[in-house]
Amino acid sequence: MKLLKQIFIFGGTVSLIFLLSCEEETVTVTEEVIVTDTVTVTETDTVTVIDTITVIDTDTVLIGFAVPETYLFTRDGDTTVSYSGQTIRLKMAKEMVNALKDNTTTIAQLLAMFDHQEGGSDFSDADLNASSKQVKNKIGNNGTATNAAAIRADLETWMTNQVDSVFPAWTDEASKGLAGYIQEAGGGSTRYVNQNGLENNQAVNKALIGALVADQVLNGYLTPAKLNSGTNEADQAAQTKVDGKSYTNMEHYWDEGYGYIYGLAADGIDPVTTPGSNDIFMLKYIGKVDSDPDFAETADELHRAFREGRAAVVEAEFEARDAAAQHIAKTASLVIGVRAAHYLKSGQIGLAATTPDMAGVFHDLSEGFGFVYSLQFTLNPETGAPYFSREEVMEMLSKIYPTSGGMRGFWDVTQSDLEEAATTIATAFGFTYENA
Amino acid sequence: MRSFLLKWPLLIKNKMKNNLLTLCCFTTLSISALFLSCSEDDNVRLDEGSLINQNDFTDDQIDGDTSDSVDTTANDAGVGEAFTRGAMLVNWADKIIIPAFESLVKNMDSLSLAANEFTDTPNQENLINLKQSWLNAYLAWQTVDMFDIGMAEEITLRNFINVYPLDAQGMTTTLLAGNYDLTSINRQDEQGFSALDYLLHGLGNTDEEIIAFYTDETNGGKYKTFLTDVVDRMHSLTSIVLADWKESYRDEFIERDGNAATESVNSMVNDYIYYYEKFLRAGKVGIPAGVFSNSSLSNRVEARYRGGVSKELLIKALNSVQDFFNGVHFSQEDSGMSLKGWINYLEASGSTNNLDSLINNQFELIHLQLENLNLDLAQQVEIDNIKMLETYDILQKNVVFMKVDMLQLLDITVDYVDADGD
Repeated sequence: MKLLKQIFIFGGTVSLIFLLSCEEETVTVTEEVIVTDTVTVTETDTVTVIDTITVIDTDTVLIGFAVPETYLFTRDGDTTVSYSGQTIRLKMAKEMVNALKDNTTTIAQLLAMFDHQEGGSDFSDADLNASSKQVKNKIGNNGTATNAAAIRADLETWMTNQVDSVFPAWTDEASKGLAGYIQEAGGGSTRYVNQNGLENNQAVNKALIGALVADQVLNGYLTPAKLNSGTNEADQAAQTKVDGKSYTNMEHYWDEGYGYIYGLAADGIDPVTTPGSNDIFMLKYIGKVDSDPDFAETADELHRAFREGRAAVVEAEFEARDAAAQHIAKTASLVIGVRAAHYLKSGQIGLAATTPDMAGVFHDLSEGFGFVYSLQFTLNPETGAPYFSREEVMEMLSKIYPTSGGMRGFWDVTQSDLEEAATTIATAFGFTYENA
Repeated sequence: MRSFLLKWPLLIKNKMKNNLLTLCCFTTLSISALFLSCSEDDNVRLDEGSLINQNDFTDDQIDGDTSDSVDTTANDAGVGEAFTRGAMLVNWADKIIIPAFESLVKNMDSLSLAANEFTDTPNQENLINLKQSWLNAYLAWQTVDMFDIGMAEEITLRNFINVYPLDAQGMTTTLLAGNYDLTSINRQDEQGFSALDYLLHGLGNTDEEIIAFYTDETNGGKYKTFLTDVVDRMHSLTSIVLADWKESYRDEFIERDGNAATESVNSMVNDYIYYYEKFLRAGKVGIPAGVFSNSSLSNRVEARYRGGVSKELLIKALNSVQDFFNGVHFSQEDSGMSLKGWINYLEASGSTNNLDSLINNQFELIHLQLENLNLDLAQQVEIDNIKMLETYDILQKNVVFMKVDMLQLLDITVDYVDADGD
């Protein structure tokens, strides 16, 4: 492995050279490199990584391949990046989630959005209707068939509960055991919850961050199994393009992974520094985590790993590619872990108030519920397994959303159960309850 | 100790007008008591070089006749005025917060009376009288809104007293349905000052049209009942908060005089800045001006149905905020230990930053800007929103001075974050 994982706090000159240079394999840096501090970090410390660079010594920087500043890759003057199918699926999922907030939506309409068939008039956007893409067939297809069926059923159960229980109670005040509306304090937002205080739309929205986005990226497109499938490695080495396309198969797979996260960014080429995005899934929460000083640089780090990996693919540097993919897995998983713990903690703090704002608590916990659900789709690169298995996730959900023995979900959850779950999550990812 | 301090409130006088440093004059007994109460904390910041020490408090000073040896413009001498958190808390509680709540409750008494007269005899004279009582109480509310601490925080007073915009449609539905529960959070945007604003000014274009709602054969009774219920609830909630301050919270408040995040000074300062940032800057100016939305929202001003008083309410709030910063006693010229005094004390050792002047100057700039605004901020938004945006920007500067610079100097951590927004 050529990447020596080290952190340097170094001058702007060097970083500029690093970013702009490199047509060739070895680059000699002529300017003096001023290294003010050197810290060796282990893989588990990447949360605090300030910068990562491939270094042999302070005079010569060996970069196996060029890493551009933005997600801009070309061949013979044509862009080689394409992820329109991912953008379409994200738009479909977003329309589906939004339809859950419209009490005139029928279950048939929702299910048709979920397993859209080409030409079906399921969406408001004609491009989506004309597309052959579908959300449902991308759910759970990286795991066992049993789990895939169970995950799809979970999503459909929440959608059905929304239509059958919440929509008819749209103008009723929610209370323990009864669905309805409940308003946040101070004339705040009105939330629509089921009989147990859960906002089904939030459960579906946040579960899709794992079930659709993280799973497709981490357990699908960026895995060596997927990237190396068929004759991809040889094709890449020979720069053999897909018939009629500017890209190779492996490049396209990597970009499809990229598209699940950045497909709704205002500028997919430079989504970190360009503000604006229509995303309601992973990208939105990368931004939220990044704005927490405890997890600063998360957005930049993740995007750089995507660029490094993509550049490595171009150069057929597969070890570097897989190192970048592992970095992505770790960072994207962390985003889910941080938000899961964050919302459970917010709910706990809300419940601690003398006059709890239950609508606010339910909203936080409903988001937390979806993020906890998404934990089963994370990938710990050190173990090759998710940070929490499906069984562990379901067990945790039964604690934070207890519905057995007459318990009424978020109406009955205790502060200690929330704190315990949030702490368990934080510990698994190497942060603390306080950081959440 | 508690009752002792109650009997001997710190006598704090300000000989200088306006922005000059204040001087504390304690009785020997009360200062001793104060030192006893804080001696184990690190908040007694009497430097060795300070001109004030326990022995300096003579009978002369009890009468406020300060000797020359205690120079209020201590910066010149490189020494700050003696500062203790405890003394500041006492000044806040006894001279500002409790008097402000007393004034509010008095105004609520009048409001109740006027509401009863109106519902007994719904005529124009009584309506006009009720409207005036409403405005007086609304102005009094501006002097306590920032004190979201203790019982006010516990019962979330602000959320039941002054949520705007009103959900007028929801309120009407609730009113006509009857059997409502005003304690429900779902009803917070259907009661309080904004509900009264609508009930007294928004039901019709003329007084006659408005009175007709209360004399209507079918629903008049429901309007009267709802009006009474809303006023009663405001009266009772504010009375509960005042009673709690006087009966128990005052002592707890001044006793919690440490520098931990949960103690009174840190909590109060956070509440203060939060109020300024969110409810004054954003609520009264930024939101109507469209700072947080794609377009301006003139109907989001305070007292929108009455019209013409939103600037007066803003000015009252701004004066209250500035007075609190300077420790000015409620409705009086005198002042006592304050954030300004604390800043002076900390900056005394050779610093020329004059953060307190920076903050006070900014308040003056805000006042100057307000002179350019229409009495009705909704009209200002409609006619020339640029001036509203400018006002917001000028208000924002004091967020930076206080939330960043002042809190850094005072070593207080911000205890709130912006909401998620989704």
